[in-house]
Amino acid sequence: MTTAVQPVASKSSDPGTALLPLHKLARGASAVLISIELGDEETDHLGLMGFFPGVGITAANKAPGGDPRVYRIDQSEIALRNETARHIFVKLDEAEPVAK
Amino acid sequence: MASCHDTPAKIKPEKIVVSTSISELTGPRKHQSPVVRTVALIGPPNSGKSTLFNRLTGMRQKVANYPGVTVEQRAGKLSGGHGLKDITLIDLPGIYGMNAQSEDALVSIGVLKGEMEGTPLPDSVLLVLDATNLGRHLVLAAQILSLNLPTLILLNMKDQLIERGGSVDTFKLAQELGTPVALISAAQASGLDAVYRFLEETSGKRQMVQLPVLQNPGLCRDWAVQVGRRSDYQAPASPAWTRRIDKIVLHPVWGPAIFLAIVIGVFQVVFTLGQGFSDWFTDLIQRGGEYFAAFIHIPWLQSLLLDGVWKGVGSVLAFLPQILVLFFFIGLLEDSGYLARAALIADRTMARLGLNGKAFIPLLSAYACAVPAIMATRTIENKRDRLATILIAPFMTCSARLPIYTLIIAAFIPNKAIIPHLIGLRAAAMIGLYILGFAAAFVTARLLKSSVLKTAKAPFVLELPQYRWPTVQSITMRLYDRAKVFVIRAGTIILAVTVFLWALAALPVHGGVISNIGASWLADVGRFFEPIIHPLGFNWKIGIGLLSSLVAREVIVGTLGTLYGADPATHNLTLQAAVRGDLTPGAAFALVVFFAFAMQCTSTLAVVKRETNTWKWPIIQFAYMSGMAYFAALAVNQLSRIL
Repeated sequence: MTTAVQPVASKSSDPGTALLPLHKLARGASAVLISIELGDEETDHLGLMGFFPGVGITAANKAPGGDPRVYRIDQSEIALRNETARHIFVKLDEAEPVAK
Repeated sequence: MASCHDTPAKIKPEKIVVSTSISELTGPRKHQSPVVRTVALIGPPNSGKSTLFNRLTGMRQKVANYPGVTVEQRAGKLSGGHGLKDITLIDLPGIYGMNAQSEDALVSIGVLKGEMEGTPLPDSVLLVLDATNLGRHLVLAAQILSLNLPTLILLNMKDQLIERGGSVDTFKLAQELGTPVALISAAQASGLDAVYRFLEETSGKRQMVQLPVLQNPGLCRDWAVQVGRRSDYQAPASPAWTRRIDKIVLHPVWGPAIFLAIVIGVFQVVFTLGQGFSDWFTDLIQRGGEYFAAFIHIPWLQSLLLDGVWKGVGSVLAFLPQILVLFFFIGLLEDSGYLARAALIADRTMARLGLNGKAFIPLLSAYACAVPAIMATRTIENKRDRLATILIAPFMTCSARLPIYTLIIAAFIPNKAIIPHLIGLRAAAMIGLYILGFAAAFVTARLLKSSVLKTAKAPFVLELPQYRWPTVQSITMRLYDRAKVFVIRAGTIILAVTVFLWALAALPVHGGVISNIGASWLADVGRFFEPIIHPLGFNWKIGIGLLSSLVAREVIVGTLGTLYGADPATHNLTLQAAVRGDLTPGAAFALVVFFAFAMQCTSTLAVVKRETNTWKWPIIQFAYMSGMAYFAALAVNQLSRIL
């Protein structure tokens, strides 16, 4: 899936615009989904579950050991393995603190 | 390209207009009364479709609190007054969208498109959405509405929406969607009048509304947000209790500790409480037998009824309490919503097995019975992952193994505590057997996934439901249904097997006197097979038990009840005492190990055949499991003799 915004895997001079792989989102932090870098089938499936560009995501609980992690979209809580979440890129909400 | 519709079209920025009136679509049916004949229930997973289906039909489909409980279509007649006769409701597996890939979702999509053989295109649709999570579910509404079937949108879980301070203007929402909308609670049976009114209406007119371009998820989403806003949808506050409970059960330390405590606790209770019931029941069977014996004066008839039927069937029925205790706990876990959390905690183990995270729930339900578990694998999209899960599911310790496990453990393991008041030796032995089954599944999965069923890792996407109180009614129904299945099996298959075996044990008749079991035809059959099982430490009676339990695992207990009952040497002993006298501890251990691995279940073989559409897999599975059982039991018995 291609989107207008190309993911920047790591650093950016301005922390406000840096893209973060979803599994690195700290617990309690909110972000906006920018792009999903997975195959069509997986991207479709994630889209049905509410993961698509523009949606707001909050990192919630995680399984013991830190994988899978639970993400909150609207009122739903959805668990993803890190191996999937690392291909989803988000941008931190500027209004929100990075982590508690 | 992500899409929420199956048409492979390019993104179009403009909106499309869908059909305005139902009459155009339903044609001549407009003049019939009532028009509606077949009504499909659809919606996202865990939105309460089956609960509503049960309410409307008076049936008892399984419901629980996790996504993917319903995996096949079920039909039922609408019940209740209202003068609506001959309406068939079809309950469908939940879908997130019309392009889902899993077997269960394909059934739903097939029915909704009228492409499912034997099921007519539904005349109308009841779309059940979770009112507490409307934002996401409205996207599905757009897809369902574009099918152009008369649709009633039911916003379920009204009670929770209101309780948590949410609200929605159903009138405005109906205008936005051009189709009637009602707020209901299927669990509390409130608001269901709207369903009957909808079904009574013959000319379900749809207004002209604009639906989003379904191929573009972004536009779908924006549309859903706008529709929600224009219908004054106020999302409810986050479920505070669910968040609080999750903080504890998903805690890095407490989470796994609670998980373990639940597992150990269940077995401990199955043993203490269940055993108490079972002992009482066994005693009742014993006394009942003695009581009835006084009324029967024909020796052979007394032997048939008491030794054959009463002891055979009774020894199996005695384990009903334990099975019910186990199902009670499984019911609590499924209905509360904890099951999905357990899946999350166990996912790392699943990943190590190379299995899809979605395999966890089918595998967990295999602890009750492999048959529904194998059907539940339909939620796994990847075909190879699904097959691997089907092949290992029968290694999970199903409830049909409980009778033989409990019998052997109670006969050979002293009732001592390992940790006083917390865990006993017997419960520990039982947990050991459960771990053994799991280990066999683990090894098999690794073998399969590293060879014939190798796949790329499939994504694990699991929605966590909110916690709910399990209802007394739901749990009672489960226990009742399970007890019914168990008693019917005891009264049919097991009864037939025990009568047949008793007859073989009593024949031939010499001068009007029935044979001693040792000189019977059954003994001849048993001794013929004895050399094969002798190295395992089993005599011919156990061998007959193994043969008869090819039908179903619990049959062995019925068979042993009949055989020891028919033998004058063990006639007056309890089954436990008779088994203790007939097996060395090593052979007893070999016997339970045999049952941990062996595929002694025709129902499972039949369902594997049905789900894989070939005899190849059930035959391979049977040969593999039986071979593994034989050699493991052989090793145990031979080792025990050396040590």
